[in-house]
Amino acid sequence: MMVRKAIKRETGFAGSGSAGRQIRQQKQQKSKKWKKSLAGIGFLLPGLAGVVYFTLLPYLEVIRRSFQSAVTSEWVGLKNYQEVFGNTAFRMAAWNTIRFTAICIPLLVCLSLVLAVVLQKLKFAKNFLKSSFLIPVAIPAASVVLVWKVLFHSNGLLNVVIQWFGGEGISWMNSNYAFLVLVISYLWKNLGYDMVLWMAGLSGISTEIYEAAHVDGAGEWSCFFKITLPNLKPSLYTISVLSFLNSFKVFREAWLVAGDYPNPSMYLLQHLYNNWFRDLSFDKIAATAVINGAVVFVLILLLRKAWDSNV
Amino acid sequence: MAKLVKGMVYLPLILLAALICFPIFFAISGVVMSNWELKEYLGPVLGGMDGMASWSLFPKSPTLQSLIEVLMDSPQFFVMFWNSIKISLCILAGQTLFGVPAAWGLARFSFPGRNAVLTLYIVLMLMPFQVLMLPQYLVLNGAGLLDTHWAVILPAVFSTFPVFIMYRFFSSIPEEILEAARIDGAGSLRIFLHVGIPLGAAGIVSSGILGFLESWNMIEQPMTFLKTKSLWPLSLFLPEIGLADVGVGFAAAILMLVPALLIFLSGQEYLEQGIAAAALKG
Amino acid sequence: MNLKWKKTAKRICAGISTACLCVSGLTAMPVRAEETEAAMGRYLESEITLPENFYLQDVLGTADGRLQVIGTDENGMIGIWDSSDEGATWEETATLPEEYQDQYFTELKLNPSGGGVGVEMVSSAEESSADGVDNYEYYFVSFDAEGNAQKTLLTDEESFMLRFAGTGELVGLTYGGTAYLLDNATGEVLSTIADADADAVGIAGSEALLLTATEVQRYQISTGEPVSRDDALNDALYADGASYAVTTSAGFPIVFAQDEEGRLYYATAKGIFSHMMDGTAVEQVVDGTLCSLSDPSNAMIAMAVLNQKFFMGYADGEGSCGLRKYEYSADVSSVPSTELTLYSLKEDTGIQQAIAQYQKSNPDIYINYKVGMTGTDGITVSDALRTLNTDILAGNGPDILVMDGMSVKTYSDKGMLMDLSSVQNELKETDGVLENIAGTYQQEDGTIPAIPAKFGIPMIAGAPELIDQVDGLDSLIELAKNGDDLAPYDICILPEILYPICAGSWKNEDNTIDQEKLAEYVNTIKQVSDNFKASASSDKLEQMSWFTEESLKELDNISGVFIGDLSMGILDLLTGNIKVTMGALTDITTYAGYSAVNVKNGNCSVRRMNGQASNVFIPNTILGVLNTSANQEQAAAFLKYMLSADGEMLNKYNGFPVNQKAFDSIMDVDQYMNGKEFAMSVASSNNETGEMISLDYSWPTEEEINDLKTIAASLTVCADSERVQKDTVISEVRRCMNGEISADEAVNSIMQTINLYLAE
Repeated sequence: MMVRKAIKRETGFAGSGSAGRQIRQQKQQKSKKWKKSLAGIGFLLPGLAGVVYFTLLPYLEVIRRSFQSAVTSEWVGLKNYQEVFGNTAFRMAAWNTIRFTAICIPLLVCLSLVLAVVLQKLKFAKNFLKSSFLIPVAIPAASVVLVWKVLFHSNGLLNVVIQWFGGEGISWMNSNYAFLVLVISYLWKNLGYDMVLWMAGLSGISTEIYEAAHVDGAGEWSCFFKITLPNLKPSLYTISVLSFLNSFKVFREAWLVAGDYPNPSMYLLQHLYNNWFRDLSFDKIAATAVINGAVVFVLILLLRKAWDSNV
Repeated sequence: MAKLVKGMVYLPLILLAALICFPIFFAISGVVMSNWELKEYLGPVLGGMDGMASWSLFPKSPTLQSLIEVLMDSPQFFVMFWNSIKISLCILAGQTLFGVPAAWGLARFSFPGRNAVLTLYIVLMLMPFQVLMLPQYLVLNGAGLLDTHWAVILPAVFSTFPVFIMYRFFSSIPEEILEAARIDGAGSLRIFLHVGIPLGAAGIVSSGILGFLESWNMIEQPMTFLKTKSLWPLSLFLPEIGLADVGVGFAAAILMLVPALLIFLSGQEYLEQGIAAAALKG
Repeated sequence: MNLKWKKTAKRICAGISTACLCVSGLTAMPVRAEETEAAMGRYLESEITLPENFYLQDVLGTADGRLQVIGTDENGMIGIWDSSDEGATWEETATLPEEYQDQYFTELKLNPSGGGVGVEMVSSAEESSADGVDNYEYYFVSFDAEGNAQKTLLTDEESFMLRFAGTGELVGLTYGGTAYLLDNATGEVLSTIADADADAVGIAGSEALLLTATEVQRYQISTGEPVSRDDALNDALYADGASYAVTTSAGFPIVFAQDEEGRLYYATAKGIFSHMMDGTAVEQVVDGTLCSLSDPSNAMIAMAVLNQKFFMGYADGEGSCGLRKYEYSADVSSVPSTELTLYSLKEDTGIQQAIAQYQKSNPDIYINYKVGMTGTDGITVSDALRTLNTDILAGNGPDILVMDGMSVKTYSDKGMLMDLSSVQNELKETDGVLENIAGTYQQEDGTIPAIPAKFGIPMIAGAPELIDQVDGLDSLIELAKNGDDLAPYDICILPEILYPICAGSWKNEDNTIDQEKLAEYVNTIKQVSDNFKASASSDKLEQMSWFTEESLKELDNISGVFIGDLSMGILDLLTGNIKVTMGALTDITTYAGYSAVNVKNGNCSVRRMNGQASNVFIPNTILGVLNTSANQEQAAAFLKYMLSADGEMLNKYNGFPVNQKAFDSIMDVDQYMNGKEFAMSVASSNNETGEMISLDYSWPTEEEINDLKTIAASLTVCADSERVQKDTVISEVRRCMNGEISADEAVNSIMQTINLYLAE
């Protein structure tokens, strides 16, 4: 269509040939661009259709239901949200989830960065160590549950070690230490993963910059703070997002080891979702899911913004 | 002296690596341990016996009894094993078929709403399963897919995580290469098949590995969407482990671990590249 | 070049769009293909009246069209009866000589060509005193159509399963699983057919079918030659890992029969199936789930085919037997028009019985029984409830809920349960109802969301001077100082025994848990257990170790077993092993047992037990109908049946009925005194002395019955049977009993969990 129009115009401006050609080129470029974006949509569409059908529409349904009662589907306005915010179990679960995320993600990001920097400098056994750290990624939750039970039981191996050093055994799963167990399983599973992420970022920094800095007489530390860290900033966004994503998966281990009602210190939103499901409280689940989604959304936007302004 | 200091760095690293790999050693030694030895070690933990648990990485009298028991005497183990394989492979195939083009489309084309779609993908990726459990159940129910393997496979096929990983990877391909292909007269599809896929192979493989590990590890989805127990995957085999069948528990844990570990080790190089690509700016 | 690419692109686009179409096509597909027209015709079950007080051992369709049965009559005489009108009238054609009166036959079989054989079990003269067990001799008895019999002492391994071929050859299967060809007259082994380690044997023409643990093997009866495998039959028989090992002396898990044309029929709990040997099809003729075949309390004795009808001799769970006819009716639809789904957390044989009976009288209704926790997998209560609730919210939920272990409050607060007050009112007008029990879930607005069909009463039994002192928890601690007065099993399951009479009093008004009350419960159990351990004999302490957490879990998974039942202590009270026992009384038989102990030693009574709460009863088979059900009326009709006198009397051991008529008939002493059905005795040998102790149950006196009635009328508090909370409490308390954690730790841990649970 557009091409034909362009031709028509050309005949209309027969006198000024060069100007017509220019317009035609512009039009062609535009049409090319349009075609290109059409191709992009074509690539995306089958997958997107599935995502819309299996994830997005279900989520919209959740939003609708968050304003309805669970069983009779009456419109109740914001009542569900009020109930959720007034619910002590929700407040505890939300607080635990926020606390977990706020403690674990910075901790993981920092630890894995240190590990990555150290490992990057090694000459021997680098790959071997890398593999060893990465292996937990491949261990299914169901396989590791038995180990966790044996380790963290009050008569378990960890307490044996502690007593061996003269300490006193700790009731890991039945006290506030349970939160620590949760943190440990998360770190154990994701340390290697994040480390590899960091190492990729590190390898992207050209060695010339360091050499130039060394020539200028900069020390190891100032190199790290003045060159390495700023150059790693772009990686931070992805690493944070992926660490956040993986933080949900720790629920599997927690649930398999401690069941529906673990120690309150490791009672996460997912426990609450699960238990509300059992109690048919879908209205509350929906409201919580919407809150959850909104928080994630805002977080992502903030992260992106911070990231965009930095790059 | 400096060398010594450098050497000293290895000690904590190796210790840490050993600590991290401890569960594997633990499971391996457990699986070749005889049942009475297991009971002796783990009685205080699993059987309410007095005293403290203990462990030995080297069993007194190694035996494959537990493994044999699972492999020979529990037919449902095999059924569940193949269910797991089937589900995981189908998910992989589906993710490749739908996820790779989607990632390519997002990475290499600009069109209105692209950024919105990207953000949407990331937000959906970060939703815990429980949030979507009921509406997804309703969708699957409406489609008549409940209690079939498709109920587990299809939602996972359209998971946005692999798209996210591959998107990063495709974004990192230099535009010049594509431009060169375009000058040669290649169309969009040809560029995708002949340039994009080969250059993004590592990303595809690595997202495949992560996808496999994730689907091999699924617990909540099959438990909610599959009623018929003969359809269940292996991840639901390990019941509450008591002292009586702790040997079986170890054997099942190991047998579940092996395929995951094999896939991981055989594709580790790609996996690292894939993970790494995600960290690059895209 | 470019063109070629465009083509490929087009093709791929086409491919993708087809794939999309397929997916959308799938989604558009209806869940179930609706049948446009209901197909008609189905086999219906009916009961045949046997000669009075006849205990049937075999049934046969003769070549000339008569139905023939053999069994024991009311005088203990063995007789053969014929019916030429398919069981409407019976005529005795032969009686075995008097020497066989009141003798026990392990097997009695009719020969298609007249007469029959049997195996008689006779207690031998000499008794081996060493173990106090009688020795038995087995005789092979053969008789003709007139009842003339001869017997031969069996010296070989005894056959427990005898089967006649149509031609009169006799096949015997031993306990060892070997099949022999036997002499008709003497039982002598003529030849070995096969040593196949078989669980069961059937006859198909000239072949013996031996059912092993994994396959069906075929052999020529006369030569023992193997015949090539019949794949269709094999696949049908072993479709989902079925086992045909005999587990009860009352009957068999599978029986075979043949018709004149040589077609093979077999019956299992799944139904009656038909197969032509070496044919490719095995057809289901009768669907077991639609009739009594699926009733777990029934065992099959033998099956006959006559005029295209099936006759099934069966034994029921109460020690009597009967004969059922399966006849084709063209007037009923081939599948019942209404399907109701019934859900319970744990499998319940009482419900299965009720379903089988109800379907028989309502052929247009099929009740699909779904069980949440089968015990064979790691499914927890929470998992099961989660799946159930997902189904309900998605509109796929069951029609009827048996809410044992679930929270009635959760479902009724959400408005999910239909008001059953009309059901209760109707019951009140017809049979009458124990309103203090049945109306326990009545809401303030008068609606009744659920009705318990049965109930148990927490009781304490034993020496009056001791049990009279027990009032509340403190006195239990005192009692346990004399450890030898108590039973080790009662101590082990004390958390379960005390939970119903305590848990109700823990809840504060603000929906939190009263820590002091909970601590009292935990501390009592801990102290009772400690006191017991400090003072009981080593024997008893050893017995305690039998009840591990795991063995209790396994017990809990068995259908019909109720942990904390009162029935365990009867014999120990009699022997003086213990002086007090506790638990829930759920049946009159147990009550009669304690009454019998009192008759013998004059020092035993049964009292209601109070804990932190008083006047508590334990609801059982709590019935509710979901509001989401499309068949509420039919569901309510089934509930009415379950609550009717007939329905309530099906299973007499899982609680007292709330139906007044059924309750009164159970409490009717005269009826029991006259009735034969309740003759019961238990026996056990003393571990130390080897001395045999036996107890013949005697009927409770009128006074005792009146006591029980008074107690039943005084019950007002419904125990909470909700499993999520109960399981949490009990598992922590058990850890505390084992010394894993202190009582304070247990209380804290329970408080945290339960408060979380309540806060949700």
